[in-house]
Amino acid sequence: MDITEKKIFTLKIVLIMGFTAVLLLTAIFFALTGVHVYEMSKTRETTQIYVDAASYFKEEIRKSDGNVVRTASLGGLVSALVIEDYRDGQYYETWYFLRDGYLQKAAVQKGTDVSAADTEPVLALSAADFSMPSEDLLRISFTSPEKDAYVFHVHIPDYIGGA
Amino acid sequence: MENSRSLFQYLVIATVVFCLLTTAVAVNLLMSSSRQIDNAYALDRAVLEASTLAEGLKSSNGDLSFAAELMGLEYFDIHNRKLTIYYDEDMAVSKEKHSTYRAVIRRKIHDLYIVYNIKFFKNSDMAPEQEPKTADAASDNGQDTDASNTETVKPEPLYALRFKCIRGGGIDVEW
Repeated sequence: MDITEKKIFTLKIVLIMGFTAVLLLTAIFFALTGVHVYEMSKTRETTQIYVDAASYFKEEIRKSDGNVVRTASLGGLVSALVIEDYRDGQYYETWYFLRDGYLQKAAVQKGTDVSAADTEPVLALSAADFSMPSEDLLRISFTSPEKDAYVFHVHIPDYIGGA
Repeated sequence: MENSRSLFQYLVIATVVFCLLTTAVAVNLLMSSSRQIDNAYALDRAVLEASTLAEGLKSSNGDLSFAAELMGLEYFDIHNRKLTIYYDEDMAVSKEKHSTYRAVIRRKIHDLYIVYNIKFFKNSDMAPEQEPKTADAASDNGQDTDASNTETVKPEPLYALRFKCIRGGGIDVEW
């Protein structure tokens, strides 16, 4: 092998290594960007759940003129939202509170104690808090299982009672 | 022998060029989808934030400072009858004026109702101290609006929500 052939051989090796490096870097870039796109699309799905949750509470609170909205505390520890409504000659209360990692919904007749049998899980959460900064504004704070915080407000119009 | 070697070299070069071109196209597509999904996420969060700000504003009867207090905002600016809230890249309220997003809220009080205008901007779309002072500012001051009279180019908002609220609470109309 003379010097020229040796140079050509070295050049080929360098080119092959260069090409392999480009492919490797591109593969790493694809993997990282792909993961980012996937994570963002999952985050979008999660965000959409909370957008829907905000709309759901707005709708629930405003669906009837006779509704009364108040916050409560279960055992002095668990923050709860209570929507009181009147239908079929009876007063009903719908309770929302966090238990076992889920926002639970329990619909009971007014004056009845809420038992575990009445509850149904509606949304996976790691924290939930309901408060009323004024008598016509409800603040709902949710923390997702991924620890993302979402705070949304619901205005309670005059025709709905706030307490 | 020499011809087949030369053909092999051409094929190798063609393969490398083809690989590099397809890689460039794929990288471009992936980056574009990454940008678009980032924008979509920002839009989702802006929609949620605008909606919750709207709810707080409905309870404030036109008092922007009271609205900010009601909503528990720690950092905000009220200047020239305009409430500005700054948000970081995760859409959490930030004290940094140069953070990623900002919400600009204007309101025009009429005898019976208040018109609110919430606009979300991406800070990279506007100069650091650029104020979106054009038709909105004029309309806020009760002047006739004419886009041709504007001095600055109005930045395109990421999301805008305009709604009318009956004074003293009650029914609201959104559009």
